[in-house]
Amino acid sequence: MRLDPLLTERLVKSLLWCFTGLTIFVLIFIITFISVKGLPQLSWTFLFHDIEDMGRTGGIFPTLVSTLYLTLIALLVASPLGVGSAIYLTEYTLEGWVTRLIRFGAECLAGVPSIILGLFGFVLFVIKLNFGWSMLSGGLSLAIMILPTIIRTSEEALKAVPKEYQDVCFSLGISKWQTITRVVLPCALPGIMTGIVLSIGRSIGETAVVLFTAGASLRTPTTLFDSGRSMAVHFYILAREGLSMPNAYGTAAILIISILLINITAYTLMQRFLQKYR
Amino acid sequence: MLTRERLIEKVLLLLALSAIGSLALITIFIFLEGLPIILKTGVRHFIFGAHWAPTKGHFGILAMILSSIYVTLGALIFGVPLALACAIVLAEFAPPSLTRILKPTIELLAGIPSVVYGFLGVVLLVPIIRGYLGGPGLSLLAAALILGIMILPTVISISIDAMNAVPTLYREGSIALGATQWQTVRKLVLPAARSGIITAIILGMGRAIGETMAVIMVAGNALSIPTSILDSVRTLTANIALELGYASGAHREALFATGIVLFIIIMILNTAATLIAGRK
Amino acid sequence: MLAVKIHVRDLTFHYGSQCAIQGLNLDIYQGEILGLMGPAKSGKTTFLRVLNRMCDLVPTARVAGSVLLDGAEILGPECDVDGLRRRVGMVFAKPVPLPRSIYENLAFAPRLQKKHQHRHELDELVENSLKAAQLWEEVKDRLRDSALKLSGGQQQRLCLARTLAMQPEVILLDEPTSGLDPISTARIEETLTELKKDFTIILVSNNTKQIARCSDKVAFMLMSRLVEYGVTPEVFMVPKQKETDDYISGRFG
Repeated sequence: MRLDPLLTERLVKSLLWCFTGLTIFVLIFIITFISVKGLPQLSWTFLFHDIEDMGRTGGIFPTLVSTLYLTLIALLVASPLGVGSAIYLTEYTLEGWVTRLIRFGAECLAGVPSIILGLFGFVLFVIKLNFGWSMLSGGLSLAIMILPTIIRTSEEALKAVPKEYQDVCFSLGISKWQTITRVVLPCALPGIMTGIVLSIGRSIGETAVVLFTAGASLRTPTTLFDSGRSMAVHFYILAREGLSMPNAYGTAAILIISILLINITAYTLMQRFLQKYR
Repeated sequence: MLTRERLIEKVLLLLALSAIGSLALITIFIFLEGLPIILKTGVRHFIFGAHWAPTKGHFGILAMILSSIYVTLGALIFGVPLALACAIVLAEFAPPSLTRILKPTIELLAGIPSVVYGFLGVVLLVPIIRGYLGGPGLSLLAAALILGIMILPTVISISIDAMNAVPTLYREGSIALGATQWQTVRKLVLPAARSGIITAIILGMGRAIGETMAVIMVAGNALSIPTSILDSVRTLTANIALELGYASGAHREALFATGIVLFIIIMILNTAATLIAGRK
Repeated sequence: MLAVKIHVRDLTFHYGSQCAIQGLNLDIYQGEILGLMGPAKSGKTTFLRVLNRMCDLVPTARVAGSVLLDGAEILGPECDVDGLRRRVGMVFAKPVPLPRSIYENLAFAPRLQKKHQHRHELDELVENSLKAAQLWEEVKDRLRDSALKLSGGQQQRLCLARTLAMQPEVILLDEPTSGLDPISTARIEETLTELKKDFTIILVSNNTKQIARCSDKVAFMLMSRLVEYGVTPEVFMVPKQKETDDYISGRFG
């Protein structure tokens, strides 16, 4: 039997809308659930006190410091590499096998699972280079993880800058590098920042990479070679070992809310950038 | 001045090689650490051996490979229909003002850390499965459901982009010929956006098979070949993460060897995605 | 007799296997406007881009022959390309102000050259350039506004002023009025006539009437070759070549 097309249309549409509703409900539910359970746990003590009794009591201050530390190292390493790569790809070469190879590398790197990055960071930084479980090992491993994101978004941003600007600058006798630093990069900056901000979000939420490269020490890290647990690792340990549910919810709430805020910032930046050039 | 520009170009080229260089380093180190044990055990025994007792010298990862595949397939079964429905509605049916709000919202959710998904699985999903379906609760089903949700943002967002890339003119032509909106989507938009959607699904698959933290928390991590969806399973990723902390010697090498297998699977998926995406 | 500023001998230019200029010989005199006309793809723009080495940006480009600027070869590898481009300014068909203020658009290049460090020097340079491009009166009160807010005609005069602010010797204009209304076009033409006593100007245009109005000498290019060259009124009254006659009278192009 063939169904009447209009009836099919109506059936399919309602089904699809139901699925969409379900999807969006699930996603919104996750955020609401964590916020409702977690926000009441937040307090001055929780944020700014040391971890006590393996996390059963006390605060999460050391994990905030570790997270910031790791993210900062990752950004300091990956941003110049990523933006430099993007500049090379967009301004200095033609499409050819070199660019294809570089892009393929970045795409594959983006797909490498975090546990593999953890393994790699563990063997290279922690063991072979003897950095131990440390902020440095963790930061470098995270840098590799966020590098592809920064390359891709910076490349998009640089490509969106009108080519005419370059022609104009060259015709004014301005050298290529000056053109890039004085005109092209400032125009592309919001787009590049989007990639960097998104990477901050990813670094904060990453667990597998950090667990095997930065360790899980409870103390507040001070030097590059100190171990420390990031918020995500701390949350994982709290939840997995059932040490303290309220503290787990509290940490999760901070994690999620900071990441959402960061991603919203990135999104707003991107919208502004697109409005300007499209 | 000319030499300065030349120098800058060379430096930038070096920077540009960082991504492919890192990839090469990762490959080299993982293989260097893991390959000897595979060769010693024998490729066949390593991949098709069902017995994993690293402290006693048994290194067979068949159970883990199968678990990874089942969990990933399960994730696709749950995730892909939802994601595609969502993408079709947002790209084709929903008023643009709604799409403008919902698409970024869904993309924002891609940023929720995997540990959080795992945690929610433990506190919400696992008790339900244990209560209504029996078994330990920590199971293949739980892992598949959680991963299915985790891949939603990736698959939805890329699929929407693929469908938006189909020219509006085609749709108008089809509607003008008297086709309904759904007929237009099914016969015209979906085929035209096929390669983009397949890429989205492959990338989602890569994300699911490579996911570690969420899976460790909800899958139960038992070391046997699963026979039912309520069985506790241990994936390749979970195996590495669970044992790396205390492993040493041949045991640690075996974990890197597990990494090699995972790495190869992921690379095959990535290459497939790149090829399909580039074919247009 | 005017001095020869640019001396072009046997210039041949290829994009990959495609020939864009074939055996071009031409002298360009100081203090004159040379009008360069011809149909699309006849090699006019390419010729301009050779004169300030913008042609280098196309990687498959091959150039042969010789171009002397004040007797010095500019095609060789020893030529300082950035320096050359400061001496040979260029205005494009589409006005492209940089996304900065009006003042910054003009001060941008001179500041990078480090020749004009002092503020008042820069201020003076900006003012003089804007006056020369006949834009000063319209923008003098809003130099800090974004250049993107100007109208199309004003933007093109801004681009001309920006080129003048580099204090070049030669100015290349690539169909500078193609996107403009008649009034803006008239203002630009007027400006060019004023400027020619201080600069050597090459004006490329599709618009034969514009060439007839503005230029002192005219060159006609067709299919990568120079077909005719001479004093403007003579070429327009009694063209020597049949193709020139056909082109001027609008039978093609």
